[in-house]
Amino acid sequence: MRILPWLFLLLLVALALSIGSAGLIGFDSQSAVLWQIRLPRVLMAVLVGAALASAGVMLQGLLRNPLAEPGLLGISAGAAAGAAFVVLPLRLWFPELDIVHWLLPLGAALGALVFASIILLLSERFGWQDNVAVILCGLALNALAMAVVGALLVLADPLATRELLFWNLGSLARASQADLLLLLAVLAPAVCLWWRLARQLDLLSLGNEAAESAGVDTQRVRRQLLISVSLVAGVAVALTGMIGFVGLVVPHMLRLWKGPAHTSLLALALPCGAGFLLLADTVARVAIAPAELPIGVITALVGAPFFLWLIGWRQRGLS
Amino acid sequence: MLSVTGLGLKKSQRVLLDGLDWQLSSGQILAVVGPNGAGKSSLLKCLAGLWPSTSGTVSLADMEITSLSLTERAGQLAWLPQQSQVAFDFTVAQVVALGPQQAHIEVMQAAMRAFGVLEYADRSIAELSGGQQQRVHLARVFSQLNSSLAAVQCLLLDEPLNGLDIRWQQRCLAEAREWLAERPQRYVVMALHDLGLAASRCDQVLVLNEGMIEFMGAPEALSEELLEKVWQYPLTIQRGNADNNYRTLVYPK
Repeated sequence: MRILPWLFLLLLVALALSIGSAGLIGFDSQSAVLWQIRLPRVLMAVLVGAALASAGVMLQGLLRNPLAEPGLLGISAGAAAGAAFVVLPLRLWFPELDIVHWLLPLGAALGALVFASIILLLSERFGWQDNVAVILCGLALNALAMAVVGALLVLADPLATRELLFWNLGSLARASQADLLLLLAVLAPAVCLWWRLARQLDLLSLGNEAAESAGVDTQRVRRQLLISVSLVAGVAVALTGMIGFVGLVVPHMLRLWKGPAHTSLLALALPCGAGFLLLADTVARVAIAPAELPIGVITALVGAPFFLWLIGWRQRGLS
Repeated sequence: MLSVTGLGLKKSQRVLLDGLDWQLSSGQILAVVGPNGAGKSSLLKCLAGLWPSTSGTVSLADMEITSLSLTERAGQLAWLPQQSQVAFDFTVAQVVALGPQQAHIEVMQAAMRAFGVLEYADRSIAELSGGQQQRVHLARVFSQLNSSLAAVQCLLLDEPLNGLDIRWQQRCLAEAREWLAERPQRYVVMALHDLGLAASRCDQVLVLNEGMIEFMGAPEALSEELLEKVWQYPLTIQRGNADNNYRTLVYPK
């Protein structure tokens, strides 16, 4: 049963590789379109989808709230603000410098970390028991970060503004080999950590004190999770822009399907998140070829109604 | 010996517990009673090591609770909160499995059978009534106690009888008594509201009022005057032997 989602993902990868604006192609070892354009993009969709969905699982478990998502808590927006802070002045002063491309993930990860730290500090200051307060605080930070990005966009030169705006919409098109390695280098240790923390998240669903009485160091779990989630989300946002709904819809779907135990959720979120984003990106590439839809548009178009349907279905199931 | 020395607790300038001193011999059940807001839950949380006391110490068999690591504490103390809520849609069996160690499946099934929730094992806990949910959490705590890996010495139950009907109230008390008798060096502390049950089924009674001890001792020594003073309500104590079962009833005058 565990293997099935991975097989399905493999099938999707094959499908995504073979179709696109250049038409249907077979597995030709010489094809530049296949190996240099489609493959990096497909792999990026797989990694980012897995990253966003599994980060969503962990964040929801930590906050005991199915609505938590890096996007909702302002972590993604913090990454965007961090990236804008790094990119816009540098583009202004050193328009020729290639290093900007490399500093962007760094700025985004830093921005995400700063915002996660603010959430962490505020929640520890005010007492963590009230998770709704944490989520509201995330919403406020989200608005703040978007305001910062908006202000920077107006102040910056038009070229950089265009670059940033496009990036904000989210796109997997520019994936390079180095980008893939960077994301993998952040995601792999994070998933190992999350795997170890998954059972502790099950205990946390009984509440902080009950978890502590069962031997869970709640403060350490909270810190490790917020930092790792913001690093992963920050780098993912830096490389592909803000892609919403993956971290919200995929974990929710899986929870309805397989129950809320975090070990199995995490194991499923990796292939299913990857598959979801890959499917969305393939639709984005093919739907109005040769033009492209922004990936964020697809995930929201699919995600939002599906999410509403799930909530309705769940309510009916309970009554 | 479970002993509490000079225990004090302050939270945001409010005194919740004030200079508590008492000891409990092993193999005994201590009932903590008192009016709403007397500090029963705070005392239990201090005993569980969840709330660091502002002054004084709690020690279990000459070991100070605060000197134990989180995992050591989890292995020696079991605590049932006053209200247990599960954040996600876990099944009954999954909730019972939540604990420091995964108890053996047969141990968990025995605990679920004891509290009559085995037949709900695969149902979502959210679908059950409040009393049934409380029974699931009792089964969770008791399966931890009986897990072969655990060496729990002290069982702390915060109003365990909440929402239980009379049959399950008796079952819960019996299970606690049975666990206590299995091995030496075990202690049970439970916060209760039913004074009659506290007086007839527990070995020691601790009466708390506004964070201070009003009474600590055997239930036979409780007086009507004391109860009336603490609860500010006219109360009668009726003691008697029915079928060689010593029973105490407390009811309004």
